[in-house]
Amino acid sequence: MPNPSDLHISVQGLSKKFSRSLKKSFLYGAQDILRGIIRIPGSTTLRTSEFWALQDINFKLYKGQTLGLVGLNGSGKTTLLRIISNILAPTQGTLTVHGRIAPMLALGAGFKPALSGYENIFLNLSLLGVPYQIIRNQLPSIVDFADIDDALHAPLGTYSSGMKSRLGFACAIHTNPQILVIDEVLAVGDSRFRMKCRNHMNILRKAGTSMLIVSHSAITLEALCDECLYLKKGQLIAQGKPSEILEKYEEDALAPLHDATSPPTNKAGSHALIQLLDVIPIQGESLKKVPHWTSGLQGSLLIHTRSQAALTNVSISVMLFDASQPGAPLLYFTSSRDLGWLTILAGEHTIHLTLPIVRLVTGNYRLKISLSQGPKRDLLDSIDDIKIAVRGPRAHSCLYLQERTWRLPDDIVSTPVLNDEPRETDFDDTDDVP
Amino acid sequence: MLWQVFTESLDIAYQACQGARSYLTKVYFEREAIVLSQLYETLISTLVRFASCFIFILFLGKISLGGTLIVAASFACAIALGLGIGLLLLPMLLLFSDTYNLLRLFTSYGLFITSAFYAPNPDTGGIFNSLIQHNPLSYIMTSAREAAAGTSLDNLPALAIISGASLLTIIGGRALLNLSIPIIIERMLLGGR
Repeated sequence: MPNPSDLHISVQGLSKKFSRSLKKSFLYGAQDILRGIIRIPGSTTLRTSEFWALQDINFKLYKGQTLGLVGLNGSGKTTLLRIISNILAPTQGTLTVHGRIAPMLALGAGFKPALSGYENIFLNLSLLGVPYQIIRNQLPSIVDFADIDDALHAPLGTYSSGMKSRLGFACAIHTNPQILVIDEVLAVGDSRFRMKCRNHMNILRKAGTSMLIVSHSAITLEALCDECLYLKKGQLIAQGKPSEILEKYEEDALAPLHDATSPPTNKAGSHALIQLLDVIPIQGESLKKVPHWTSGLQGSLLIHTRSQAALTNVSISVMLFDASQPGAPLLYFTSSRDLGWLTILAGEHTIHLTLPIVRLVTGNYRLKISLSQGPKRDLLDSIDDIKIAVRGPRAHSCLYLQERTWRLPDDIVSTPVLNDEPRETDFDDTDDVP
Repeated sequence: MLWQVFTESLDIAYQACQGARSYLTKVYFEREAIVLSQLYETLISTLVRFASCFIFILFLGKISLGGTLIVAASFACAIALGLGIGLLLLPMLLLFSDTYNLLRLFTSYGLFITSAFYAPNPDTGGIFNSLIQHNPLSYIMTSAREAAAGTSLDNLPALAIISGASLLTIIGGRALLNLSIPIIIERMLLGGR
């Protein structure tokens, strides 16, 4: 049972409503200000065009604890962080904050491009409430952390986006915060800087800084968080261990994926020389009507094509992306590399692609299949946005499952890891966690 | 010159919020800070105006220390009155841009209902005359004029009352700013003003 004196954030019955109509929102805004002036409590019922962005949220954040917030887009995560950061006022409920908050909702808020990095450090930290003398004392550490020694006195407008993010991050964590509120800004800078951030955040956590993190990255959340909160349509529907909450979240994320993509369409149209008619990922039964593969088992794709005439030098490309975040493909293979050029005769064909063992971890993915011709890869047709789920055992902090065998010498012994051991060990082991 | 100082002060709170909207929606800080920073800018430009005005008065004739202080107080009073009214109007100006356009219209032609152009005569009637006579800006302008010319200081008590009232509007405006700013920020996030 945590000590009540260690309570950093207490959220009780918190609700927030917004208006979908821009015009009405200004009118309601004026009404609310008038109500405030004559000390009448604000309207707690929904007026025309209003909706609940957050409804009856309850949770507590204790010293040194890290809470993750997950939910689909529009579920109210950022609104909740803005209320906790005191940027927005709640419509109902109470929010109690004990300690200085460093909001990392947008790094470098308030930076002026015409001012130098040096001047922007003072500007940004002053905005975050740090006294002048403390900024002066912290300055060498901030400059060193952001790694901008050479460009310190150059205008911020000449900085690269990575340098600006690094400077913003360095400023935010040098405010001596008791509470860090982080909204998907962890993946800044290069790998060296991310490692530095990770180590500094570990130092803050060990010193008792509590964190509230919004991220779509299951790896980040599992590595960093003690607990996760799952927001759905503005309501807190689950709170618990990160692995359990993320599993529930990924299950729920399947349904909208399916609705949004039925059916995926090809780009070329029916007049093309060759068409991709359909792509079906197969592996047993589907999960909530979305095709799925199982980690560690075989996975297949059926690719249906229709060709108006015989075509030579054809290649089929398959790309697989993480559906939850943009980025490079996790898998990419082409028939030209595996088999050489294909000659496809006129008529309909079904091509069967088999992955003997699916090594992807549990998650939602997006497939893109394209047909191209010749060494210049002239695009003949493509189908994007084919959703596929992968299910199986959860793997901590990695993208792939890899079979492995350890062989220890006789003088090294191993003991089982208990579940309630500090999570710093997990975090320290993940070198690429941002 | 006093009218210019007043209209610039009227704009302080609005310009401060518009200039800071990019970070008002991202980070929490004491919101009075942005108004204060804009006020400093206005104070500097007012100081330059006051200095040029003072040199001009010295060029035309002598001015006593008391007179100088009253002219300075008139400038300060014009700033305080403008800032106070600007703060009180701020929520409406930020929520409805038409209100701001109306204010701009007023500041373009409002000079004509002050004593800058027509000296009010208490002995004659008429709406326009009484409008000018009871305009607080007229009292401020007349006090500065009388102090600079070294004539009788009849409007001094009125200047003191207006200064007090201006401070009260600033206090009220500040309370209104703190009350309304979360609601205004919410609208800024919606993509409005």
